[in-house]
Amino acid sequence: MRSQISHRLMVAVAATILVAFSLFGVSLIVSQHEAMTSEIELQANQLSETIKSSTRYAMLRNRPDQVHEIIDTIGQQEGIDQVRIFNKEGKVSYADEKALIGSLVDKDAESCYACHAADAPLERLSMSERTRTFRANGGRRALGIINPIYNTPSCSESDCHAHPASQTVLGVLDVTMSLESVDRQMAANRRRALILVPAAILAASGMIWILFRSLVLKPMQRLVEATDVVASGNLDYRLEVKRNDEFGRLDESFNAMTEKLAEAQKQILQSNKLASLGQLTAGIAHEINNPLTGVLTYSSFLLKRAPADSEMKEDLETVVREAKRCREIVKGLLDFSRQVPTRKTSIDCNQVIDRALGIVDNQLGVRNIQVTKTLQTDLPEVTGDANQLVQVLINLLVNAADAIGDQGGEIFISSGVKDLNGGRHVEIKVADTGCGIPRDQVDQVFDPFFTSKGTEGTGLGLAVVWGIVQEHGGAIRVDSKPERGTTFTLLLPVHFTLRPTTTEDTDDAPM
Amino acid sequence: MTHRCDVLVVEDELVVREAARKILLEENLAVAMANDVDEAVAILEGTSCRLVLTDLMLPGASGFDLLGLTRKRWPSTEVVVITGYATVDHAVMTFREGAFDFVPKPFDIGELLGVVRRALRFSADRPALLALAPSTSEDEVADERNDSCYFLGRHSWARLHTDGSATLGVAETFPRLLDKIEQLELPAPEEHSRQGQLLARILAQGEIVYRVWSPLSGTVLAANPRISHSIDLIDRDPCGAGWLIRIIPHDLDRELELLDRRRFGLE
Ligand SMILES: Nc1ncnc2c1ncn2[C@@H]1O[C@H](COP(=O)(O)OP(=O)(O)OP(=O)(O)O)[C@@H](O)[C@H]1O
Ligand SMILES: [Mg+2]
Repeated sequence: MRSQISHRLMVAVAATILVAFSLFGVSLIVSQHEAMTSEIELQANQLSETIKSSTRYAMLRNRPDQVHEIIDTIGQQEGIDQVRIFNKEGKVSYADEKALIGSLVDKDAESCYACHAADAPLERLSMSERTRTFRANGGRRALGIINPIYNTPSCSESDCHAHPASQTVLGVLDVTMSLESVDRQMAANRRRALILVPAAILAASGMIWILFRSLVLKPMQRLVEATDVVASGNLDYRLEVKRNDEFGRLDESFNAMTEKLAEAQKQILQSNKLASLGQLTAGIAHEINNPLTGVLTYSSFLLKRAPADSEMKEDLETVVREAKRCREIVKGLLDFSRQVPTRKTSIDCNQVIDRALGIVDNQLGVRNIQVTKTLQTDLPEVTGDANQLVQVLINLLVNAADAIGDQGGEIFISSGVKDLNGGRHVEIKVADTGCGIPRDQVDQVFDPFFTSKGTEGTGLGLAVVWGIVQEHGGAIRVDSKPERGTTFTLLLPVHFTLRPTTTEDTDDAPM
Repeated sequence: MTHRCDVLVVEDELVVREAARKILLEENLAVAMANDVDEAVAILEGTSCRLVLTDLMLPGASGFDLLGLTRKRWPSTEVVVITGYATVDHAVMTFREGAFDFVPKPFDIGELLGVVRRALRFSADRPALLALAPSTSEDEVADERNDSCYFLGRHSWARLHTDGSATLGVAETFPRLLDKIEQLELPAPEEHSRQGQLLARILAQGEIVYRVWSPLSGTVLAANPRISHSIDLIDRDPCGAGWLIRIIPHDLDRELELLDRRRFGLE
């Protein structure tokens, strides 16, 4: 699984980079080529304008030797292939290559094509129409630019009278420049691209692989290993949550899941144990009960007949008593093995409060105790045994009433919602204006059999409260000021789940 | 009807059978014995018995079979079931099937005598007592007192209160079958009552014990404060002022299904 995901990712990344870089490279090369060509074009044009203007004076003065000289000088410059001037008939009048002078230019040749394409000579041409690229002899690419020399009054009125005024175009200046340097650079660029693209692909893929390994594969591997450990039965295994990202959260929920699993397993084990214990004790009890009936009956008969104040009577009394104790032990075992878990439902705590108040109402009224109720409406429901929760409140209310005594006082009971680190809770407070709890006794009030009421109290009230609250996953706290009063604060989790915090975490996460 | 027979004991376990016989003989009762249901039926066909005392677990047909058969063929014969151990199911089932009561093993002399005396007295005065405690009916509920009353056979009752608590007490005919009550033992507040298990022990002269089975499970809120001063309240008004304890029921919805809803027969 591991290699497949990373390989697939790698191939996908490489293909993406290849396509992207190729497109980018090609468009770069093309635009570079265009830019360089037009640069050359501009140079050629400028050059041809320079030649035209510098030869003009010599022409007007009809000094061909000067024209030749200028053209020769320019033609020798680097990058210039050819400079020619030919007349309307196509006869070369001047050229840097003397051999060409006097030769006729073929009108279909590349240099003439622009004007003579339609067989009718055009007289005004744009720059792009005047330029052409072509392969010169030897396959070298070259750029040619023609520059028509137009007739002007100064020409026709010149002393030489070489050109009549009716002529519009007197001849054409043709400059050819080599594209060799451009081509050389373009080739170099292409070579560079061919090396760069694979290198980039390699680098990017490598980078992604390294990142993938450390960011995804390793934590995933850790999780897979942890899952294997848990699957092999070690439910105590926990991952150390190191990271703050999705994997960190995954680790957290993995731990929560394992915890829950362990808890569930413990419960199953426990209930299995209880179930088999139940079957066992039921069987044993059945077997023991028969002989025990005999023991009880016969020893009781013997006891009836035993002479009063005899040692035998005492002995038989012991037998009967112990047989009855056996019976209680067996019964206790049966009760234990038959314990059914209390059934839990969704509960509105306000109803619980009202029910509890309904039950103790009379008692409070008789004692002249004023009850103030502050209940929050729309209280979220808690999960539990409503009757047991009523019991909790009854115990608290009865204690409050006891603390107030007969001289009258007040009890405040309120409900509300409290968000704690553990999640949402319903909070119920029972406060009284009674005698309060001495500081050194506060820690003991929940202990079984702790009572300050002598024989009047059993001291089990708050122990029962504690037990029920624990069973509901809640908490109870007591705050007391001696002589002023006592407040019991009860917290019950809203729809008790193992980790209510995780829902909050994901709520404000970006996705 | 050649022989007189007060009690037929059906039990396969010898020591229990003999113990029961011994206890009953001390009461000067005529006792017949059977090992299984077939033997019991044979005896019942030959003799008219006032009471059948049968174990539940018997070889072959069970005590429940014998119970059903007896109620059908000899309706004036009462049946008390001996259970291996009391469970909700057994308790509720025995009453549902028409048993007079049940007695869990191991019992002692006073406990067996208590239930046998009550059963024999009931069978002696059957028509009058039946009139006192009508069988299950869904009639219109006459008054508030009869509202929400649920019965475990003709044995005990539970009344639900609007505040969520319930009072428990003994059924109309129960006190009529007792000897003079000497003492009443009730669970203390915060103890638990369990459906089909011991709710109260009523002690009478001669170490006789009458056991009351609870119709509902719950946590005990309080015992009837008046009853400790005047035990005869049970006798005078078992369904009213003579209530025994008040509880917070635990598993009300499920447990009520197992009880009979009817009105009180008294007054
Ligand atoms: N509201 C209160 N004000 C002052 N003291 C209190 C209050 N609630 C409880 N106590 C103290 O805690 C002790 C234990 O209370 P608990 O309910 O467990 O037993 P009890 O009330 O003494 O007896 P029981 O509830 O079994 O009849 C009380 O005896 C009393 O001293
Ligand atoms: Mg208390």
